[in-house]
Amino acid sequence: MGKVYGRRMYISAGGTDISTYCNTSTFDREAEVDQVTGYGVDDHVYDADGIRDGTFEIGGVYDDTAVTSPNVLFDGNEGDSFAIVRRVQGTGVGKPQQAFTAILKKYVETAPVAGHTTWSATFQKTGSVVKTTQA
Amino acid sequence: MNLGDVMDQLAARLDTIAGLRCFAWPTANLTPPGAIVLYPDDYTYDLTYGRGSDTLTIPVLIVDGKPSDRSTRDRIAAYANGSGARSVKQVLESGTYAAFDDVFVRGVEFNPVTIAGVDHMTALFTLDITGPGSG
Repeated sequence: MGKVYGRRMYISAGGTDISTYCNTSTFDREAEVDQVTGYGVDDHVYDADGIRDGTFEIGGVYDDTAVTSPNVLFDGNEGDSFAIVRRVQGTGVGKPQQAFTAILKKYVETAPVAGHTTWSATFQKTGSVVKTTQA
Repeated sequence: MNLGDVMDQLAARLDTIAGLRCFAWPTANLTPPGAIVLYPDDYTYDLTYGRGSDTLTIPVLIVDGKPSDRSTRDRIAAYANGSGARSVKQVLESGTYAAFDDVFVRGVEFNPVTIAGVDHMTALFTLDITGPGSG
């Protein structure tokens, strides 16, 4: 297997599989770097101070039937922490998995008159990401 | 979604309109006024991850009488009306379906066609349908 389509993505929040309600997800990770440029050089020099950060954004189609759909999990629960599990290659033995805790910063519902009602949620990662291989 | 079930249930719902003979497939044996659920313009998979949802664009063709008859105009107007007992949009969008989740009657186009040498006025409705990807 080489290149992977996004349709294989698995996402759970608070132990609930929400994959079938999602059609987009972005996981941004970054490291803080400090400038340590000294005299006598022509280019800036940076050093990573070891502190990392990340945001996780997901979105999809609003579902009015399921008890465990994202609108039920997230609406009104802004500020709550969720255990996130992300499998970018999908579920299967030997495939990668990332698990982390994230705080729900923002939840948005959009309802265009001539299209699907959609939702989106933005999370702030807190603490480390645990990377494992699925068994 | 099972395409046959989708077409059957749309035709069954249209059949509740008084005086409209409905077919769930493109039949050659239609006596106007009649409605035919045609094959989809497109069937798009993976609206969401995990085979959660697919979408269909299905045309529904109403064939009526001579374009120059006032009675034809009156019937076509009732089918194309945004509301009313004979409104295709109102009847389809108010239905409850097992084969799919929701239907949006996006619009209608009007064209005269000649069938077996006889001119008929037609109204072609475009339906957007969303339903489960698996099953």
